[in-house]
This record gives sequence, C-alpha cells and structure tokens, in this order.
Amino acid sequence: MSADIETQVPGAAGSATPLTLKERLARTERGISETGYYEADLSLKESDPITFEVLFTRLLQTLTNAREVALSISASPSTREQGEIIFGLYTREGDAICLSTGLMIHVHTMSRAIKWMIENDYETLVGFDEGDYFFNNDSFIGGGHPSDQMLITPLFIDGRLEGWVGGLTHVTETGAVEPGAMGSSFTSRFAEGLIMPCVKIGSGDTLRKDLDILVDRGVRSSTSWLADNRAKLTGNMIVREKLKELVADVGLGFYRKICREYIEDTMRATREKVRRSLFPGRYREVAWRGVTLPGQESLLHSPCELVITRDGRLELDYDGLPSARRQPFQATLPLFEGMLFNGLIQNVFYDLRYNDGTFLAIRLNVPLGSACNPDNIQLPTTLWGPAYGGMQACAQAVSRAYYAQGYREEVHASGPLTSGNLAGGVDQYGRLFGSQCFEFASSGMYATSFMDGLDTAFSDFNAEGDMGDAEVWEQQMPQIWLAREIRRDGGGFGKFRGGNGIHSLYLIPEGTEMEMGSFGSPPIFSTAGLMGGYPAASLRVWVGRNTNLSQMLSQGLDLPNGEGLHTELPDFVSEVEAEWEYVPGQNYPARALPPESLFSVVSGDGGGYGDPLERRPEEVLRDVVDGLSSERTALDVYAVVFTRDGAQLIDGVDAEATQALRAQHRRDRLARAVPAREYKARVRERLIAGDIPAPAAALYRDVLRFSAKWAAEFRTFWDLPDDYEVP
Amino acid sequence: MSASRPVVCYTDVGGTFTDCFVVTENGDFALGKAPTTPADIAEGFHAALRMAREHLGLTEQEFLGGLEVIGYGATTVLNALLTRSGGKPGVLVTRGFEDLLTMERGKQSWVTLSRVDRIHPVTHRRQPPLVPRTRVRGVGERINSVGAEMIPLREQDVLSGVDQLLAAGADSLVVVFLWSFLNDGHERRTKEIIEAELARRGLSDIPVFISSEISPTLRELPRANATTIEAYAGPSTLRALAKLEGDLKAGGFTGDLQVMQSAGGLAPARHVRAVDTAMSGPVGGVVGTRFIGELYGFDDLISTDVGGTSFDVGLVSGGFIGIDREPVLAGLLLSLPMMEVHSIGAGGGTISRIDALTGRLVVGPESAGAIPGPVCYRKGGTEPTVTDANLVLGYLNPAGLLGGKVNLDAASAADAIRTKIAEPLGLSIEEAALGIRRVIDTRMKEAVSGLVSLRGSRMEDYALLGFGGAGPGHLCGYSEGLPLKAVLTFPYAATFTAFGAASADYEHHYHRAVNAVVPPAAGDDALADVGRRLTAAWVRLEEQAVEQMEREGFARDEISLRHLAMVRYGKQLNDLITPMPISRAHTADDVRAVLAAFEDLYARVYAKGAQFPQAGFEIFEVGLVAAAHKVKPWLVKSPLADEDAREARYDERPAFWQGEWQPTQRYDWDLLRPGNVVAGPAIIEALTTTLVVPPSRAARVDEYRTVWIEE
Repeated sequence: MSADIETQVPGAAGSATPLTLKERLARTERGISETGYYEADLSLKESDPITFEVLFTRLLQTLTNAREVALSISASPSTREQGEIIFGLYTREGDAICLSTGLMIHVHTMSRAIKWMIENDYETLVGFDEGDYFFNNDSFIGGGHPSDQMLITPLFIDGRLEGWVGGLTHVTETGAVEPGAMGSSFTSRFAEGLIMPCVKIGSGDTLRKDLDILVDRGVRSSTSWLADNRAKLTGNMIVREKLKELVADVGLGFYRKICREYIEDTMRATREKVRRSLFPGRYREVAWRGVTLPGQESLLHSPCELVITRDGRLELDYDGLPSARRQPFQATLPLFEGMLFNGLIQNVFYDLRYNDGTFLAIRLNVPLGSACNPDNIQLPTTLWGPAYGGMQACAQAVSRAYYAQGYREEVHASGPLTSGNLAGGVDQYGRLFGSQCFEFASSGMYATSFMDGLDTAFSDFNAEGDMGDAEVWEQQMPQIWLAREIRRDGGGFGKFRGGNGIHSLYLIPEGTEMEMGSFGSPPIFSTAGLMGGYPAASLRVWVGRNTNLSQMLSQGLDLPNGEGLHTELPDFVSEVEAEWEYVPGQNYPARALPPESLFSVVSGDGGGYGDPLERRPEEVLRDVVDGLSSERTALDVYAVVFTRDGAQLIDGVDAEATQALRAQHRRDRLARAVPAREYKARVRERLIAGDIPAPAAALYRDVLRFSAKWAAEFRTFWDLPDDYEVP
Repeated sequence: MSASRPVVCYTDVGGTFTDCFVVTENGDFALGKAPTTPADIAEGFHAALRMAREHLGLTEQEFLGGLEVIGYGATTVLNALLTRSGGKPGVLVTRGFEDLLTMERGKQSWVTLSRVDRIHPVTHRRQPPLVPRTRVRGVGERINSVGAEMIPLREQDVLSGVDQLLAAGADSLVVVFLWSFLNDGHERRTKEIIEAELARRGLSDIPVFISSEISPTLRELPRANATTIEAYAGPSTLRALAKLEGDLKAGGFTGDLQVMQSAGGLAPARHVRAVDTAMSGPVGGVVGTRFIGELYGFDDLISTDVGGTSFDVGLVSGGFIGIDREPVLAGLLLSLPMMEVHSIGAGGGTISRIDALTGRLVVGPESAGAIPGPVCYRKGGTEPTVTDANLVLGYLNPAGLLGGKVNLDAASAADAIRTKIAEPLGLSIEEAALGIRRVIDTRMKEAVSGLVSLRGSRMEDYALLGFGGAGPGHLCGYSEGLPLKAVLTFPYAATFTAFGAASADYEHHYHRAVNAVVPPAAGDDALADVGRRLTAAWVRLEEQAVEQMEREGFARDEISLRHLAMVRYGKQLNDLITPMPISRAHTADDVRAVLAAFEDLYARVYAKGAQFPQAGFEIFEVGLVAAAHKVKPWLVKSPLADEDAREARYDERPAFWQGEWQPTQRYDWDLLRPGNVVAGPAIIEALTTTLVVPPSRAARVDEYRTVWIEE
C-alpha cells in the first residue's frame, strides 16, 4: 500500500504550505457545499474492496474494545447500567469516521466540539500536543447538557495531528442547583452546575490534579465525574495506540484517504437507502411537550417537515419551533442534531457504517433562536423537550414514508418519553451523594405494525436501554424501592398496544438526609399513537410526607407496594396516611423529604398502533390476567367482555358479547363524528374568539411571531386573517 | 488396536453430536462420536462410549471397570431453557417486586442480538418468562442495602403464597428476596416455613430453592434467574445424571460420574447444581489450553476455537482462567461465575454477501449452520460461506471431508462466489474467495487482540492455541502479525475441547457477600475492621468448601484453596476479581496488601492513569476456589526425528496463494513425525481437520506431536 496517496478534497487545489486545521476545515466544508461530495472518488474502495472492509473492521473493533474497557472503569450508573457511553474516531477536521456501539446521539456532538476548538483557534491559542486531553460539557459547544461529558484527545502520527479520538459518558452529578444535574426548575444555564468548555485537563497522558480538585469541590459527589474521566482517558489511549499501529501498517496517505472514503461511502449509501426505502413526498408531523414552571405553563411543539426526493435526498425542516426561553425544556443545536441522527440511525440507517457521512447527506433547518437552537448561551438546555419531540415527529414521518413504500415491518408509533428521578444528600454510608436514577431508560416501547411494544425495555434515545437492578441503584442512592412494577395500562391502546413502562415507589429511609425530585413531561399526551392507535399515558408524581409507615410496621400491617388494581387512586395512596401531593406530569423540582416519605414515579410508555377494536380479544384477556391491563380498559377501550368462573374470576372471552359491544362502539363513534369542514369551522371560531387553553395560546402567540413560515401556514389552513394574533 | 487400560474418559453432549474422548494408560487416545439423542441423552452418550470402547477393542466391563474418571458435559439445561421445556416453579419474591421475572431487565431484550439489530429496535424481542406472572406471589419483608432488617418477614404471606402457588400447579418453589445475599435470615426462615407446610401436606418431594444459596451475589434479577433456572431445569437434569451414573455403575464403573461446570472444574454428579453446568461446552477448550500451558511452561495463553458458526476466544493469564461474573445464558442475565469465553459469529459456515446499499463485502455474523450448510455441501445452501471460499482456493480437499464422508461440490461453491461476490466487486473468483478469508481472519484476529487488550495484557506474553474443526484452517490467518510467544495447534484439534475437559481438576467456586467500604484515607482502625469482615467471610467459605469436598471424598490435605476478593474503587460499578496474597486479614497492613494487589491488577488491566484511590475502595464480595487433583490425560513424548517430512507427503494440489495458483504439497497429518518441519505453502490433512500453511509460515512438529507455527 502506498503512503503517497493524498486526499482529493473536492473543489480544492493543492497547497504548497501545510494548512492550519482551521484552513483545512474551511476547505472541506466549502468543498462539500460546492460539490456535494466529501471525497471526490472512492478509488481505494473500487480498487481494493477487501482491504477497504478489512481496515474498517479493525477500526470498529478498536473503538468497541475501548468502550468495553471504559465501561469497566466507569462509576456512573447511567454509563455502566444503561450503556450511555460511546467512543469515536474523527478526521483532522472533526468529522466522525467510525464509532463504537453505544449512545448514537453523541456521534455528532463530539464532532461539533472538535470543530469548535478548531474554529476558535485552539491550534495557536491553546495548542494541541500528543497526550493532551480536552474536556467539554458545554452543550452549546457539544454534548447535550452538562451531564454529557466528553474527553477528546488529538491523534498524532509522526509528530503531526492526523485526527481525534473522543469518548463520552453521561455522568450523574454536576453540582447543579438540584442534585443529579437534570433538574426541572432551571431557568438559567448557571443553574446547571459546573461547565467546562473544551478545557485542556490533561497532558502527557496525565490528568491535572488541580482540575480534579476543582471538580471535587464543585459538585456534591465527584466520583462519577472523575472516574469517568479516567475511563475515557483509558479508552482514548487504547484507540490512539491501535491507530498508530494501523497507520504504520498501511501508510499515512492511505489512512487519510481511506478515512475520507468511509465518510463519502456512507454519504452515498445514505442517499441510496433513502431512495430504496422511503416513498418520495412531503410528510408533516408534530410532537408535543410542555413547560411547568412557576408562572410559566405552556406547551412546546416540534413541527417536522420531512421531504424525500426521488433521487434519495432527505430534508428536515423544523421552522415553526417555538422560541428559546428561560426554561429548561430546550436543546442546543449539537444536541438536536444528535437526537435526529440517533433517531434516523435507529429507524433507517441502522445497517450502514455509523459516521458523519449520514449526517452530511441530510439537509436540516433548525431556526436560530428557536428552542432547539438557542442564540443566547445564558439559557438552560437541560431537558431537551422539543428536541426529543423533533426526533419523535421525524420518526413518525419516516414511518409513514416506509408505509407508503410498503415496508410495513419498519412502521411504528411514537417512542416513550424520557423521565428520571434525582436525589442528593447523605447516603447510607455517610457519604455525600448526588445522582440520577435512570431506571426509566427501560420504558415501554412503541407498538409496531405487527406486534405490541415491549414492556419496560426500551428508550427512544438509546436502543440498548436497561433499567439496571434495584439493588445496584440502592447501593448508589439511598432510597428504598417498596415497589418496582410494570405500569398497567401505560402503553397506548391499539390493535397492537404500546409497551408499558415502570412504576417505582421509593421510601426515604431513616438515617439519611435526602432531597428528591424528578423530570419528565407535563400532563399531556406526548407519545403519539399511529394509524388509530392511542397515545401513551401521561406521567405523574405522588409524594407522601409525614407518613404513618412506622405505625403500620409496629401494627404488623403490610407496607404499600404498588399502584394496585384501581385506576382512580393508587393503592399506596389509599393505604398510607400522609400529606399526599399529586403532581401531574413528572417535573418535580428536588425538595428535602423527611425520612419515611414516599415518592412515586412512572416512566414513559409506548404509543399504540391501529384501532383498539381490532385487537384480538385473547390478547386483551392475556394482558388482564397478567396484570398489564385493567378490566375497565378491556371493556371501555377494547370492548371485550369476559366470562367468569364460579369464583367470579375471569376465565375466558365471551365472543358473542364482545362482537356485539364492538359493533355498538363503532356505531357510537359514527354518532359522535362530524364532517371535517364543520370541525374546521368550529375550531376557526374558537381561534378567533381566543377560546384556547392558556398553555396552547401562549405557544401560538410565540410561534406566530417567531416563525413567518409557520404563521402563514397556520393562518391559511384555518382561514384566518393575515394579521391574526391569538387574542 | 491393542488393549490398553483406559484411564480418563470425557463425553461432551453437544447440540448435534456427542463426542467421547478416552485416554489410556499408555497415553493413547480413542475417540467416539454419535448423534445426540435429545429425547434420551443417555442413548447418544452410550453410543459414543461404545464407539470409543470398540476402537480400543475392550469389553464393556474392561472399559468401564478400568476407567478412573468419567467426565460429562451437556447442554441439557441450555436446551430446556431454549425450548422452554422445564418444570413449573412457583416463585415468592419481596412484595412489590412480583413483576421481576416478567419485566426482567431491558438488556435481556437485546443482549443476544447483533450490533446492527441492537441499534434497530423493531428487531428487539422478549422471550416468554420461565415463570408466568400467575405463578408469582409477593411476601411482605425487606432487608436493606447494608443487610439490616427493615420490614419483618410476614409469615402469613409465605403460607398464603405457597397455598396459591401449589393451587396454580407449581412443582417446585423458589424464594428470591432483595438483599438476601447480605442477610439470608428471611429467605432461610421462609424455606423452613415452606418445608414444614409441604411436609404437613405430604408434599415433601417438592424442592425449595432460595436465592441466597444458589447465587449469593448482588443484583436481584440475575440472582432470581439463576435460582429459577435451578428449579426449572435442575430436577430433570439431576435425575438424568443419576440415571446415567447408575447405568455406568451397572456396567462396571466404580467411580463417580463427574460433571463439567461452567466455571471450569469437575464436580460429582450427585453434588452438582444443574445451573452450574449450563455452559460446559466452551469450557473444555480453555481448560485444555491451561493444561497445555502447564506442559510447555506458558502461564499466559489464548484459546481459540473455530467451529461452524462461532469463533470462541478465552484467556489464561498468569495460570488463571478468566471468569465472567455476569454471563448471559439463553438470553438470561446470570450472576454465577462462568468461564469467560468471548464469541463472535465467525466460522466455517459463516455467510458472505455484498451489501446492497454500499456494495461492501460483508462476512457474517450469519451462519449457514449444519442445515442448509455451505453451498459445497449440497444440502440446500445457496449463500457462499467461508468453507466455500476455502474449497475454491484449494485449501480443502475437493474429494471431501472426514475421509470422504462429506462430499464437496467445488463447482457449485465457485459458482456461488462468482455470482454473489466476485462479479459485483469486479474481482476474480479467487480474489473474492481470498477476500472472504481476509475479512473473516481479520475479524477473528481483532477479537483476539481485543480480548487481550481488554484485560490489559501484552500480546508478547501470550501463546495462542488454535483448535476446533475449522481452527487449523484459519490459524495462520488470524495469528498473522500478532507478536505472540508461540502459535500451536494439534492433530486432535477437532476434539480438543473434549481433550481439554478431560484434563480438568475437581473444582468448586464459592462466593459470599461482605459489606466492606474503605473510605478515602482510611485509618488503621477502619482498615482493621474491613480485615475482620474479609477474614470472617473467607473462614465461612473455607468451612463450606472443605465440608463439601470432604463429602465428595477428598481428604483435607488434598484440597487446595485460592482466596479472592472482588474489589473496586469507591462507587465504581464493576469490580475486579483479585487473587489474594493472603488468606487472612488480621491487621491494617494486611488490608493494605489486599488493596495493593487490587491496585496492581487494576493498573495492569486498565492503565496506571485510570487508578483512582482517592475515591476509596469497596469490597462487596469475596470468593474462594477449592480444587483437588484428578488424574489427567498425558501426552506421550516421542524422540525427535529429522525435519524431512517426505514420509507424510501425499501429492501436490494447486492452491491459490499471493495472487496466483501454485502447486502445493499435501501432507497426511497422521504420518507426520516429531521433528518434521513443513514449509508453506502446504496443506496438512487429518481426518477431522485441515491445517493451512501459507508461503510465509512453516509447521514444526514437536515431541508431543503438537504443531508449532513458525515464521
């Protein structure tokens, strides 16, 4: 193999003097923009397809090994238990060449951080040397929120910077106003804790002690942050040393060229996959979120327009997003790009090489100043709300494009919300702690066009979701699980029901000092169904203070342990005397809770697919017997009538009664229906009269001002005056 | 063959075939092979033994009466899990966790999937639970994370639960309470109540399993899985073992039937737990690798086993076999120690294809399996496999495998590679076939180097052993360029796992929870307190081990003990199994020695820069390995002849090397003599395997008939 091969950046002439990284980045971006290519040809692939494959296998295995090692060292439950960790190899310009398995969201967020350093003259102002380590958790630069922490090291070959290696983990404590880093009360970025924007924290393969001390004194419990830095350092070193061996084998010029070809090859494959899989057209979807802060209760929406062209172009337009504000439910552009990338990989490009070729092949518009591309770095971007919605809406649009093309096996309803539990204080070992419990990474999965969503299995932001064992969480956080159960009736109803999420009931134990909170979504249906399927249930929190648990124990009574069979009020609320607080939605800013308090949270559930009246009655029976669905749902939603044995226990389906009830349900539907024109006219009247719920009114006022495109379409669709504003 | 007393016999009951390996007092080997008979494992077992016996020319009495050890490994438990054909356990769990086995862990829905499917959620699936939700009942009770009782056991819940589970048809009862591994009081009391109740009902034959006995480790789901598996598949497995042992004794065998355990080591069938035997298949290869290492003085070895569908890699480091503490069995997470064997989908039957989108050559992980198999087998396979590539390149004998028992169709293989690989890539058939080999060899090589680097070891310290039916065919490919100390293979490579299993010692692994947190900068008093906890736990394990092994017939002085501690830095979630320099920790300095051993190992496995002592240390579990020597196979040493291997030569056959067809000498492996050297390019054929030696390598036969691959 020749070491003399040089890259052929489209639209660029050779240069006699070495380019700075900044010049090289600008040249590459200009070349892509002008030609549509990342690399002008695939000559190495075409001349030697075997070596092309063999080298990629080596790169992939190297990154995967690094990830496995880092997983063993990590001290973050979200890393170890949920696998929120990824390693990537990048070109000199910061474009991802190859990635380990793991959290695909951060493929491109690390790329953003590398480019940010290059664009901000780090090459001359800070300097890049072999053995340097750059830490970033500034989400405006790269990553999703301060919990997402990346460590990037330059890859030097023969004294020249030839690329980058990056590792990212999600840590559970950042010294934010609320413990556990992801509080729902933040109205400023400065509430999010310690933020370090691409800081050189190590050189000579050694991390700086003074910065360890900074972290140690800056957060409640520094272990996960500092141990994860060591995990990433180790992983980066493994990749770097293996890369040196690989380059020694093939030659530097060959390495440079083949890396660019991997990206170009993926760009081309991305377009080809789109062309073959998705029916050309313009698809529009929207997903919903909400904001509940004191004095601020409003909705957020994520309108997505997906355009598929006949030649395989995929364009996404999010013009119509609300504006960025002083609330935590928004995302930086790097994160939004990462979420979309993640969703598209899971839904469409799962069988390609995972690198920036896919990202470069897609056209994306996210208006500056919107809730997914804030132009003010003082704003918090903790909880991503509309970015998550943007990914859901995109996935829905893709499902319809698949359906139109005939790929039914890829069609599914919306995936579950992310939620979580936060806690801090002094743990059972007398240590300070602050942490997130991410057991809800195993939420209910969406229903597909051919099967029910899996219960307690899946997370839309990480396909390799896992809730971990309660014993491991209790070792990390002092709360006691009195119940951990499948949330009955959580998944959206449908011919195929959405997967149910988790319900957990925590007890604050004696001997600890704890504050506890949670994050998720306000009480709206945020996870849509598809093709007649129902949305997933909304979330909620119950908090019980000053309970009579001690008294119950002393009387030999059973302690509460679940939601029970009643749909109106959970059993634990009925059984325990306490000052109960019910919070619709899941946003509960962390507050001190006395020992023996109870805290009940639920995870997201999957959307349903198809008309519930088409669900096989035997499946409904099975769900009721297994405790996954209630009898009331079986009767009211699925219209299934059961037979009972002598002890009045359900023992089968009454087929005749079920058929009759379903027929009645269909007649009732027809009776309730109105023509679309009439419906539209009614809504128009309400809009003109200002008869809109306050949160929706706040959203529409904002978007009508912020997005001219959306405003014009809204006014046209509802036949409103050109100067219409929400009264 | 002249009769020579058989000494050690090991029989491995695989999914398709049952292999029997016998060593005689002269060091001769005899092999037996018979189709596995799933309906009655004993049938295939006896057929394989019969074949080996007949090979030795012995009567049943001479054969069984002469054997000192009969070892046995089977996939009985695994098959019961895969086919969901076990018993009907009823489960009592901590109230509030009744959904434990149905909600399981998210990980169980994707852990067995390929990389692509893991990221593609519509492919994720749940298996039916071993125990349906209708046979699970909650019991009011709670132990907390430091082992203290938080909620007393509600005995009335136990009685009502048992009543309902029996009414639901439970044929065994399982108890899984949270934190029972730290404080087993509630589980033990529950067992007493259940057994009394069963006795009262005249149902004492219904077995009761508690998780603190089966798997006393952190993590409730893996612990529940292990305990439930024992209830689900254990009784039938143990009955089958007892029957087998009875048959052998009736035939004249005077010893105990020994069963291979997943963590390595044999244990008497009468004392073994079924769940501990579930993954005995790949174990033999690694155990045999360690045995070969002892023969040649290698402490660090890599075992590589290439079969039809998978490439299994295991490590022996410093004489110790790696243990996986969170293995996955039939898609279920477990917390039982099992021998660490990493598998990738790469073997003779691995399918190659061109990706429709990218035009790239993809090799694996899918396999054609035994049915339909490679194209050249003419059993219906249409997709070109690695075996097809080997045949097209002239590396496999076109006359057939297994002495002609398996016919090969080279033309069909060539046609499949031409149409499905070569033409789309614009390559010749030979270039395409070579490409398939390069990709599969690279994947195997990266799996090897990945595991070595994962364990923080240096490749230069290791000797690599290649075996399995397809191992010698790819050994030179996947070891190329690795700076190994030695590369070895064997004429009995295809049955090496059975050979290896026959070399295992009697061994039991024990572990026990402790609660030992060493805060940063801990003083002497705190350290001494940790030492007391460790010592107390080790003493308990020693008592347990000695009691069990004495019951199995070993004298105290025959039992060797190895002490372990599972140590991690503060709040880390993974610990390292750290061999202990001491067996008691009486003083603060003793504990410092424990921690120093961990820190040394940690720096070696990961990197010095990854050390994090400022976080303190945590030890939540200690372990003990108790072993006793067993008679083993021995390799007969023969005098070295000269290097000339002409007596083993067959003929020349064209094979494709370095871009051209070259006449290649073919050798009969059975006729190679110690001292012979075969320079590449060469093909060395045995009945059950083929060693491929490329032009740049040579094969040297040593005095034990082991083949050393040399540059």
